[in-house]
Amino acid sequence: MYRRVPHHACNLVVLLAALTLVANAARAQAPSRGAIEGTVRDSATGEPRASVAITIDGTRRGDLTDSVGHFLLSDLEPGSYLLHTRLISTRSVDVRAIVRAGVTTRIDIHVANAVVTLGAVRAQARSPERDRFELNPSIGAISLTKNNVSSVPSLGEPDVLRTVQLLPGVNARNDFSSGYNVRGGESDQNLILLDGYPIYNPFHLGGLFSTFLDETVGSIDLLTGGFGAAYGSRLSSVLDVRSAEPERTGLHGEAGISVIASSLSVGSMSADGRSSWTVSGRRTYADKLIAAISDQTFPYHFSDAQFHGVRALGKDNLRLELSAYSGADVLDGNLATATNDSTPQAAGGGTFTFGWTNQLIGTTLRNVWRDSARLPLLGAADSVGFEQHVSFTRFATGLNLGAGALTLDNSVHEFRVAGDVHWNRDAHERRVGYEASGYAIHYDVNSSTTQTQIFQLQQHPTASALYYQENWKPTRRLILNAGLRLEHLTGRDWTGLSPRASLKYFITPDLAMTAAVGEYAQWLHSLNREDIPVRIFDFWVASDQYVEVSRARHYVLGFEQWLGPLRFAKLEAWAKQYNHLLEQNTADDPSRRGDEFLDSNGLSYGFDLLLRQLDIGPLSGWLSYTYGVSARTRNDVGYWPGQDRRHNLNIVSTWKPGGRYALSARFGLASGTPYTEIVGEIVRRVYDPATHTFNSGPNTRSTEPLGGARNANRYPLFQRLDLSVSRQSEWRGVKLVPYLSLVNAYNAHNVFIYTFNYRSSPPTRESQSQLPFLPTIGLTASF
Amino acid sequence: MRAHMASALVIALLCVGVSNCTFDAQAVAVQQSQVEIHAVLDPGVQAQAILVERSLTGTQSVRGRRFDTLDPINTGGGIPVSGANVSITGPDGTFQGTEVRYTGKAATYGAGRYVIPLSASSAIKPGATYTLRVTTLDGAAVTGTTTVPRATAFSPGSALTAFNRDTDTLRLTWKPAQSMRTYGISVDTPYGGFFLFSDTTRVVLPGDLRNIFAADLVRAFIPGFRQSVTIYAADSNFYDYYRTRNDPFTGSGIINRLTGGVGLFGAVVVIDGRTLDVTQKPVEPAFEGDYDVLTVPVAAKNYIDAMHLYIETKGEPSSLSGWYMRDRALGVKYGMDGTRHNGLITLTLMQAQVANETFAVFTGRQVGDSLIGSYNNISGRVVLLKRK
Repeated sequence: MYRRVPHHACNLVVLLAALTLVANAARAQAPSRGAIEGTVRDSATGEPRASVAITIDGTRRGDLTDSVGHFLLSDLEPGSYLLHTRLISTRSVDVRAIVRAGVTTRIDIHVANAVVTLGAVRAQARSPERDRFELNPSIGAISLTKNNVSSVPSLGEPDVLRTVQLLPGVNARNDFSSGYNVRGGESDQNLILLDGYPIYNPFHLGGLFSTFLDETVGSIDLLTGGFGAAYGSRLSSVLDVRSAEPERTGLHGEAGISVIASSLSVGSMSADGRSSWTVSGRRTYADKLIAAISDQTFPYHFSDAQFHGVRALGKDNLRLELSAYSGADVLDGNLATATNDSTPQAAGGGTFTFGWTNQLIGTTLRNVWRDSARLPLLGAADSVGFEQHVSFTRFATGLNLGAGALTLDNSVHEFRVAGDVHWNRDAHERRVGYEASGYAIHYDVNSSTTQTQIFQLQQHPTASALYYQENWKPTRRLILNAGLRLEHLTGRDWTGLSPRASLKYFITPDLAMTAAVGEYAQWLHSLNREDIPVRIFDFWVASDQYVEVSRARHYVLGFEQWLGPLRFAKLEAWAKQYNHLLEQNTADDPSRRGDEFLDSNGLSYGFDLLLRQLDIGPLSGWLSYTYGVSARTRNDVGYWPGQDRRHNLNIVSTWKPGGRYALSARFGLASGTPYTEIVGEIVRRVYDPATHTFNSGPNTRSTEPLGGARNANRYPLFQRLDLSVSRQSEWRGVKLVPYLSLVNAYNAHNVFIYTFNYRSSPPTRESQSQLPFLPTIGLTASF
Repeated sequence: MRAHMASALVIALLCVGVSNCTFDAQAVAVQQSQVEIHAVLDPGVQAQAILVERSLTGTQSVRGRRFDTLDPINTGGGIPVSGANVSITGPDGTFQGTEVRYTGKAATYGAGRYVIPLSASSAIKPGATYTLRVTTLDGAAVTGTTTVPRATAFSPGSALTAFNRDTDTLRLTWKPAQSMRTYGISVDTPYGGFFLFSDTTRVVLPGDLRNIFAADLVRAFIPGFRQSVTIYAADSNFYDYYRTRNDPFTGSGIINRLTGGVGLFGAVVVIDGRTLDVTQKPVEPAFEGDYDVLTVPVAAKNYIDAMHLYIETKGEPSSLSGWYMRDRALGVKYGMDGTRHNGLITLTLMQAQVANETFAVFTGRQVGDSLIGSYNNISGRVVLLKRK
């Protein structure tokens, strides 16, 4: 007895086998040159040292040790080389190594910590940002570290997405939403990745917090436009959050407690440095606290759990990574018991549950051969690598009112396999890869107690993509990057070709001009509307015979100027054209398919400015300013979408005067976003067919607002100053960092929405405030 | 529906959440008002009522009062439009509406309620198309069109169907109608109607059904009450108007099919229905059951003459419900609800069977097999004796 394997699964197996063959073939070499490979370790503890710069004396060749202290200098002529190590706070070491043809010379280097007088030290190590500046067009690319996130004053606790909202090109609608719009795009156009795997709706508490645990964050890369062919499925941006990997042996971790939640993260690296793991968790505790100290209930909590593990396999650079995340928001209660005893109800209340959950599990296998690599058909290469990713992502939303009187369930499952082979030869870096995602989208609204189906949708599309991308440095001054992405979507039977190209021209070694153009497609759409200023979560629907695939074209032109080893300025002008932008049709008929969305076209343009001082040294931070205009057109009628913010300035600064204290500030100044003015109210009168009258009982008449011209008005200027201070101390080997944050320090009255009252004369308007002055405290303990 | 329902809930929660963070209240300019219409043609009645009012724009303050079906706009928080020319045109010609006035009432009583009396021969015809035309004194003109569902009108009559909400489930099926958009199912409850739309010709209403349109998700069927369940066929205007709503951020969302104004001109045909006499199994027989008045102030002799009390939801506090008769000789039952909290019993006597229309409130305690207390608006001791 056997089970028939689906056709597309066979294709997948063949593709995986081909990639494995390619990778293995790359090892079959006929080398004439040699390499030096080794590990840098701490001379006192023997632990690997990461980020040590290894340079070959008298040349411009070098490498940076990775997280397990490993470095590789390949493609070397046979001979004798003097290696030189550099890392702040360590003594430099010179080591001589002999290279023979066809042989990889292996050496271990031990470095000792050095007492450094800061005033006499000038940091020379290159930052990742500088590397990116020199090696890639790096259009719209911004990197952050955990330190950046931790140092930004926060509401309750550090938050990745709140920090991302302060970057150029990124627009946060208001204080209550950690969703964001990038360069005028809609908020569902952002591809969010955790360790390279897609994650949907990474928000808690109605968007007030993101699901990313601060303790687990290693790095954050944001691509705000013109990104390469390796990325697809979203129109506007890519946010890739990478998990941190422990760099110490022994069990260690970090615990945190804030006014919102408590968290714990523990991890370890094996003694041989070949494996590491981290487990983290967080939970809000207001529900438990209130239940413990009173007879009241607080029917809401959210929780997160995350795992990240890495294991080196074999003697090569083969690595296996595993990431898993699970998060949930639960709002549930019984209105019969939740009512305060002082106001007893005349009829017993019912139960309600409202929750959303996020799950992700993904694994990656990657390898790099850097000495004497060879590819079938393509010949020798300086290095060859491959990556294989398999992941499963699930996002589900559920609402149940009155024990089945009304239930709503929406879920999106994505099973994704992706991989690539990349190789370097001379001045070329080439990458060919694929992606295949199978989606299961389920949408069900019903009244199970009355056995009434209100709406049901099941979609099972498959999206597949092949791409090729080449980074070419033809001259010392010029970097060209070109790619092509071929995508196909079942369900709609859509095939699209998305060419992408970018370049960087070095006017001087520290000044470069960049340009990019690219086409992008998106086939998963959120039913959320940008005119609604909060983004609780998304209800996802895929393109099918009724729903178009959205397209966008990016144009970017920019300049990047380095003003020293730790400081740079970046200016990028951008324009985006959209076709088939889809917006929820609020008048859709639940018993009919195809009317869920309204189709519009759009244009966004503007420029971003970033001045950044990297976080090495006592003073760091950035200034970002974005000018942007967004316009949409439907049926020849133009309007400003809700995210059309014209001016957006954010200044983030951290000062660590003596190493123990850290003082941080964030100042935001932004012009208002559009809104629709309410111009009146209407009385909704419910008809009772039993009595043939209107308004024959309670809840049969209510007033509803009547809107004027769409988004014809704008909210006033937004401004907010946040401050925080933390102090680092040590107690019995545990590093303690208590912190105090002052959100909206001078209590600026920022308008969230206006509410109108036309039931009185004269009519009135009240401003509903965004976050008022909120002091919060917290403590982190690292061990 | 779909995301709208969840969004509405979230928006409501959010509005509650931010309601304590308001600032900068200021007067704004009065805006141009629109004419608002509510009219539903129904072959089951001969006098078709059309409500004509203005949208609220701050020209005058409005407030809700005790609702009066003959003066629905003034008592329903609206601004009536008087003196309008209202007509409907159908296969039998054009018929004018009249703004009904009542002698002995205030001049504004009944304002904005236009009634078109139709004879048996000119009654609203299932399957026919009608056009509404409203012209106000200031020249505003509103028009709309509806097609009445093709179905046989049903008259439920006065028979009662016993319904024990602990054990019974109402399963209704009906014949399909033509020229309609959907079927509506409505249940009258003391805490507001429960309704849903269904494209199928069957529905199940279990006794423990929760009313998602009422505060606190209370149950749809309340013991002691007579509750009507109505099945009707509705046209697309009716369906679209009641399945959509304007959200508080954009003031848009309602599907409005009127030209020159906002509101509804739709049609329904009642095709099935019944009136349920809702009961439940006693959970505390020593307390629940029939009571007769033993002692009462003279001025309150037409308050409770007899009553039947249920514990609607047992707990602390317990929710109470039931019926009472002002004169057992007449046999007319009225609804009541209440609570028992730390032994204190509060019973709210309703004008009819609607929770927000209170006739009187009894407050007392159980002493032996009697309830001893008083009414809120008449002094004097009241003793209600439990019937053996």
